[in-house]
Amino acid sequence: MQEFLYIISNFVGVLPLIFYLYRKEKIINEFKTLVPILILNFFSSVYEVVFTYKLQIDSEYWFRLYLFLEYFSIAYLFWKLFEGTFYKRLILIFSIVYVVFYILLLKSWELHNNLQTDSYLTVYTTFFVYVLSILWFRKIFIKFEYDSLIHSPVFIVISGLLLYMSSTLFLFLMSDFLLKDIRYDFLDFWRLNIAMCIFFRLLLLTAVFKGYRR
Amino acid sequence: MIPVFWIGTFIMLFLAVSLILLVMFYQRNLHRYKLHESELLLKASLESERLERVRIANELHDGLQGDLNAIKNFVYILTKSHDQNDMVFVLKETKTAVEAAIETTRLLSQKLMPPLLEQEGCGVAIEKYFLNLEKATGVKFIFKSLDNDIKIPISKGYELYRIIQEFTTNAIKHGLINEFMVVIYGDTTQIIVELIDDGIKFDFFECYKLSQGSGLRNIQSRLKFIKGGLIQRSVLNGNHFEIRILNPLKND
Ligand SMILES: Nc1ncnc2c1ncn2[C@@H]1O[C@H](COP(=O)(O)OP(=O)(O)OP(=O)(O)O)[C@@H](O)[C@H]1O
Ligand SMILES: [Mg+2]
Repeated sequence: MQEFLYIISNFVGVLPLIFYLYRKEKIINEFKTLVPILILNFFSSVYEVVFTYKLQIDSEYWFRLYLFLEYFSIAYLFWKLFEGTFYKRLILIFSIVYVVFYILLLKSWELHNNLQTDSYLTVYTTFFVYVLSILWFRKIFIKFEYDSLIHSPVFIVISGLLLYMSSTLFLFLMSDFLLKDIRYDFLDFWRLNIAMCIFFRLLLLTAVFKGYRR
Repeated sequence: MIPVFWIGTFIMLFLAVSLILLVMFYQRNLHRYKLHESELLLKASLESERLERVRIANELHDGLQGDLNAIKNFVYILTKSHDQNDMVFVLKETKTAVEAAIETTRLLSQKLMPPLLEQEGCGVAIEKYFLNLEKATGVKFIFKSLDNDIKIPISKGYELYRIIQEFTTNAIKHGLINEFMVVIYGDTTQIIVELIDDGIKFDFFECYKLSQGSGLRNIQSRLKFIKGGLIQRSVLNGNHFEIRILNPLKND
């Protein structure tokens, strides 16, 4: 079961970028804002299959790096979506604080004992996503840029981010505890992450299809 | 600790789902509302076009056709009559009828498109219009163009002219004004038109919502067409409006 979910998750993870590249010229311009997220999902899927799964290399370094890349792929998305200097400044401040925070947390890095500190970064990114998404929603209501949100790739991906980050927030926050408590099998809980990850990547794939010009 | 995990996850998921649904719901309603509004605007402008056509048709029918019928009759008489005196008289009548027909055509074409607008631009046309209005109503009309070299393309100038026309008609009809002033200034990136009167205060956007007439709605649909924005400034006496047209030179 575990393995099956794992394979699906990584399989779905590589698809969005492939479909994007396959018919790149037919995709609406706005979609470019999402490309870093597609690339990240592609490489993280490949990495997990090759290095973690096949070669059994410790994933903790990768995971910490992944958090960094994840934050910046999202920051890139919002950076491109907003125009005014206020928003750009806000994103810049968020990002500088993130980098400082990230470096500080690196100092307390110990192999095999990072779930707690990783989760702080996740909380921060979740907060960032919430703030910027709400600002973006406000902006599209005022400017009235979209006829239908369900057909907007950007809206689909932002919704996906909100859902994924919200549903896994407590898992990451409490993972240290859940892992160390021998009464529970951590993998039972971890399945939630994999399931939500599959869901998010399916939304990414949907976004690519919605991005094709009609 | 496990309940904390599930409750926390559930609350966060609930938060995200409700946020997304709320946004989608709101957007759909907003979309419907905007669609409805633009339909109304379209209807209003179509209706005013129709009324204009009715007026022109009436004028063609009563004015021009009458004159032409008279001319036809005169010509008929001329072909039948042999009396020299009669012929001179009928020819004179014919001349008057032809002149009347020419005058009617001139007025009609002027209604369709103010000729000065085409030749001299919107500023001159407004000035001329104000001059006539001042004679007809006794109200003082002032027109100022601060940047003489601003050129507004004819299509936009026409709409602007009509907008100002409706503002002045309303001000005379409802506002009981003594003085009305229009100031135009700007450059190639934007043009600003200020309309200032000393009449009865009214809230444009309130009246627009409630109005049964088509004047204010026409103003809105014309503004939308030329991508102009309208602001009502709050002033102590009278009314003060500002119309802002961005990229006036861009024709789309
Ligand atoms: N300058 C003004 N001063 C006071 N009230 C005004 C003024 N302009 C408009 N209004 C109010 O706004 C209402 C709507 O104006 P609108 O031009 O849409 O209709 P109308 O002038 O009554 O009819 P129409 O323009 O179709 O002949 C008017 O009935 C009037 O009450
Ligand atoms: Mg009116």
